[in-house]
Amino acid sequence: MKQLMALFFCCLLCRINSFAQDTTVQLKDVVVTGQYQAQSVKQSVYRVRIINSERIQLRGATDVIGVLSNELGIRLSNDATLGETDVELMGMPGQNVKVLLDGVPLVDRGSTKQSLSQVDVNSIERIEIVEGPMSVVYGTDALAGVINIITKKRTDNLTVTARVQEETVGTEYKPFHGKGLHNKNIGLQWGHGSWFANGGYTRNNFGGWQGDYTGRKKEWHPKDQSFASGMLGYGNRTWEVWYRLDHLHENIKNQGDINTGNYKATDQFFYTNRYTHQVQAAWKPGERLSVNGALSYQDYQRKTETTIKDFRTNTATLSGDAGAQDVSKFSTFFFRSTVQYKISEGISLQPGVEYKRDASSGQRIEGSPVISDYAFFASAEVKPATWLNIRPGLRFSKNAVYDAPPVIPSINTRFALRKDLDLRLSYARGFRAPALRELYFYFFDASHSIKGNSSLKAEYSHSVNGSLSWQALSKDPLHYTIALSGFYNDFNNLIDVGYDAVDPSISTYININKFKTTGGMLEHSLQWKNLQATLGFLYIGRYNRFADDTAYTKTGSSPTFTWTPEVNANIIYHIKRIGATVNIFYKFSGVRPTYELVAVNNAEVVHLAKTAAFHYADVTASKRINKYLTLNAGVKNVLNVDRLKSTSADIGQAHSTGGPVLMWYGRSYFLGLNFRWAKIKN
Amino acid sequence: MYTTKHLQAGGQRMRQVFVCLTLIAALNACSNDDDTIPVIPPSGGSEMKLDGGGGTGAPNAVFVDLSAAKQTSVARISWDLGFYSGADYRVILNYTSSLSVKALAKTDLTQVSLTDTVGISLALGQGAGTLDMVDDVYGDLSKTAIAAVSATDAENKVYLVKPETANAADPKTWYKIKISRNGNGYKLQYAKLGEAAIQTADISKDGNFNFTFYSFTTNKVVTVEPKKAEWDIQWSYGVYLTGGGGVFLPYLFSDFVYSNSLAGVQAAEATTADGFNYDTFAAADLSNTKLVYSATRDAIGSKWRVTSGATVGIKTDRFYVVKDAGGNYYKLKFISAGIGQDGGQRGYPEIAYKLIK
Repeated sequence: MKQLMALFFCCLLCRINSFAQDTTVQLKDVVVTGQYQAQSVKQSVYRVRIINSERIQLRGATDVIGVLSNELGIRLSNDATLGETDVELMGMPGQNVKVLLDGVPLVDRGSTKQSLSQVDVNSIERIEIVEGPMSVVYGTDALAGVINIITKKRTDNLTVTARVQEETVGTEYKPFHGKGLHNKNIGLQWGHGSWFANGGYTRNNFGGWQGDYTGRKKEWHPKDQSFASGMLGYGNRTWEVWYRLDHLHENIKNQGDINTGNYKATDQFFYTNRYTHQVQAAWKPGERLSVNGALSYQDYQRKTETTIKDFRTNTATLSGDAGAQDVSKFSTFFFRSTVQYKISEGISLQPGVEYKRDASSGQRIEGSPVISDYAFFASAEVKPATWLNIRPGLRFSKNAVYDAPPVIPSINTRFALRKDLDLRLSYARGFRAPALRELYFYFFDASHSIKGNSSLKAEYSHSVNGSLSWQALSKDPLHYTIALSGFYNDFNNLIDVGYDAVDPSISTYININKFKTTGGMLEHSLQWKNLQATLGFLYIGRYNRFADDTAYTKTGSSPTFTWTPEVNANIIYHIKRIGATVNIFYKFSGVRPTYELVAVNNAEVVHLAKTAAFHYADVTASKRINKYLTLNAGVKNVLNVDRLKSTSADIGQAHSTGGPVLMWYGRSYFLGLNFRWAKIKN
Repeated sequence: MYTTKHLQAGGQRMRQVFVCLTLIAALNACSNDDDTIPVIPPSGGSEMKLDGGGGTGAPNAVFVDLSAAKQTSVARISWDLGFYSGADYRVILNYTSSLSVKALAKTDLTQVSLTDTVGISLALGQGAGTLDMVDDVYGDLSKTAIAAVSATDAENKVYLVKPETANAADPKTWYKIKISRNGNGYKLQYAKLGEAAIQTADISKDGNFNFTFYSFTTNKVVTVEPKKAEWDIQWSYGVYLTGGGGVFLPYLFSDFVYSNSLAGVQAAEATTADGFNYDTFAAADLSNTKLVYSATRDAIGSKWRVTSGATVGIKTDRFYVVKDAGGNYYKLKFISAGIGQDGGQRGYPEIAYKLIK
């Protein structure tokens, strides 16, 4: 048995060495995002946050959004009309956040990151979050940060997992289907010699939430998702290659209430189909050299169907209205390859190339545009002393359509001031390429004249980040770490809607806005015997665009930044004797002030609007029933938040003008059963 | 030995779990459509689906005569100018389109060329244009964009006209026009800018109609409105205004409802907040002082629906009382317009109405 264990660890270690950037390992606190090779969090020049599969299970999460909801610096915004959720990172909207699946960028329709809620939560090994720009390595969109979702790869035994979870949506619930939230999953992982494979199927059935609406209409639209995934790989000491396919089918239903004038109702259906293929390979012929490659093809289709249901005849017909029936198609071909070469103990190099081809079509896209991006990037890791790590990097981009920033620099440093004290300082440029929608949007009707602008430039940012981590105590049974960090981001050329200079009757996208964010964070993490606890504070400042604008009347002070505090706390307590854990996940989001324009006494005046503060908390528990089964239960959103009061006339979300902001659907309860069986090796 | 037993027990439990999972899968297979068919009461009064031709900028304008239960649908850009048949000499612009005008200082049509368009924009809507480029949006004939046609022809200015189909950025597609009196009627002279030939038309007044309509496209007098006593309201895409804070701009509205104010048609809004109910509204309610009749053209206008924001759709908390030229009172409500999720189709609105008195 001992020998077996030794062999197992040996294998693991080999894998750590041979797997690099975009492949994964199973050791705790090892990260891959932006690394030359899998690296411990402590050694990384980036500060990386990790959410592991254990945390996902303890939270009883049914989607990635549910996992991220209590992270510091992450704020969710919901589009009630489309039934989609966008994520904001460190005060910047989703369009400035890069979402990766095993290091491969996921395709999205426009500016919001639907992709995050279209990943199977059961297939996730861990999520790595890096704040601050990583555009040198990951290119466009990586301004505010990167969310890298790492999938489960292999086990050495045959393993079967299954999960059934039933959850209420506020007070609405019906067993197994319809009202409530119903999650089911079955997964299979297998490894034999050099071969490994896995597969899984998940069904996520959300019955929606009626809220203040009556009849058939619901404030949260019902959503039905099925995920299927499969993976096959082969690897030995020096090389590894694997193929993975993820499929999603999603159906969001927006039913209208019955019009008692004509006994008809208009219903909208959004069908999404997503196929994400990827092949990744790693080759490590020796100690000094390793090569990684990732190839991906993604096919994302969203069909809008509008029907008119006639209750007099009990029939449904397709609506003939403009935009009522549509199919939007997006496809992306992606290739990235990097070489890691260690020149000496003190110097390593990582050159890389990236190619991306985006294609799209649909009613509101002019023609069938195709954009190709070419990039070359290189970075070096210089370690002049054991306590110092400097990583300068450059990215050169070329794009046929828009004006890509030709060179993007970055420099990251890590100073190991003491064995238990790390200082990280970095400067980086980030950029966001104009989205296909901004370049080729086309929507003309009686009350809209909006056209894309193919001469847009990329948005870019200057960013400074710093952090100090101190492992204050690390002697069993007590471990205590404290980290202080700060950031300042200055965004330029932000794309917004404005009037066409040639024909002012047409609205188009122009590079006009500026934005800044700044803030500081203090995080504590404690481990004492069976208790794990974290406590974090964040203070985010978001730029007030009227601060330097003299064109408008200001009724009060108009500072450069508006500030929002956040506090989060997690407590996980293991009761080992009975195989149970009790957990609390909490987050406070403070009042969010925003300056906006309103008309007062015949003049446009800058007005301070506020969105109310809220507390979010989950209390969960899990208990092992036997060798194979674990029971999970809990209360989500204990403090029963649904809508946030807002004094704004425009809450900044699509299809919405003022009023309370829909955030959640109230307190809900869940009960889940997790099954895991692994074949015991003889 | 122990291990084997344990495995067996495990296998049994596994079977149980799989049975469970299979059961759940089976349960899922039964689709359940929650839709229950509501009890549908018989309707009272009349209903009418207006033939607007579809879309937010529907191609047709529809005149409705409530007393005859008749609708007349005409292409809304089939005319450019309307010549008033009453005592005054007034000319209106096609308000069911984005047609716009600007006066020049010149009074001789032959002296006007493309150079006179320098610095003039005739773009209208989406934030462009000013209210002096269109007629009074409330239908006041004393405030038309084109000044009253004077008996002294030297006072009648030349106007630049941009019909909806012309290009705001290309003045060659605009028209220059001059209108004079001609006995008891009008004389219209016009030409496309950049085209030499000047067209002339004599237009007479007909007391049975509010206006006599003329089209630059067909170079003819065209039939548009029914006789003035034979329509009460008109539904169309058309010009109105938007704004706030004391600044108003012309804006084109879909589903605008104009009343035949020139023939004396009036309308009042009745809301549930004021205690009115469409189904029970009867002649006795007509004396309710909360009903305030408006004699302007926009008495109904766009007040009956919301097209942006959180609560898009027809406002179901209100209906209208229409008083026609003959002194009849009708209650009128909008059923569907394809706005929000009302089960209708955009550009084919449905109305319901009933004679009250």
